[in-house]
Amino acid sequence: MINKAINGAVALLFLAVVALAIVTTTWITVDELPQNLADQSNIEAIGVQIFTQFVIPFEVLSLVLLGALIGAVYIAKSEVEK
Amino acid sequence: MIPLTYYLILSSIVFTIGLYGIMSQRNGVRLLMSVELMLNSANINLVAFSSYNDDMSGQVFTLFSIALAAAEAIIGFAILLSIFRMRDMINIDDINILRW
Repeated sequence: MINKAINGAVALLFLAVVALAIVTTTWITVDELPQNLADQSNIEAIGVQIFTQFVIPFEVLSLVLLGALIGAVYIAKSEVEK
Repeated sequence: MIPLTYYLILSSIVFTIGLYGIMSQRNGVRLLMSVELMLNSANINLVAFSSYNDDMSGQVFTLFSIALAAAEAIIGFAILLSIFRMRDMINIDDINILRW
């Protein structure tokens, strides 16, 4: 029970520090939020970005996911009865 | 217009909940859940900054971060599965031997 309280205290301390940092810094933001009525969820803009500017990370991401898939199947494979 | 700091405060609260979850959980599955919580708080930050600076790359990077979080969760659960097969429990306090 004691270390749960300590955990809580450490987490709250961390939250206090981060919240203080967030509140005291002035964030440079655009005055008017970008409103694109035609493409509300800007899924088209994301699609365009992925296949023009982020093509290489997109392909590397598929390799990473493939590797994770194969690794997970290999780790979770049950032992073959000899 | 909602000031940006509200989103950042929300993301830091979600991150703190994940941090508390990681520090106080003994079950492996709950640990992975709190790791996901921390990753999603980072995603909140990414999207907030992306929309408040009118720059799309933040939201695109969030998709990559979600995919990587999924890959990490897959590996975590595969390891927990093999540990459970061998030891019939996933109590992280008892799993402290590298090779058995």
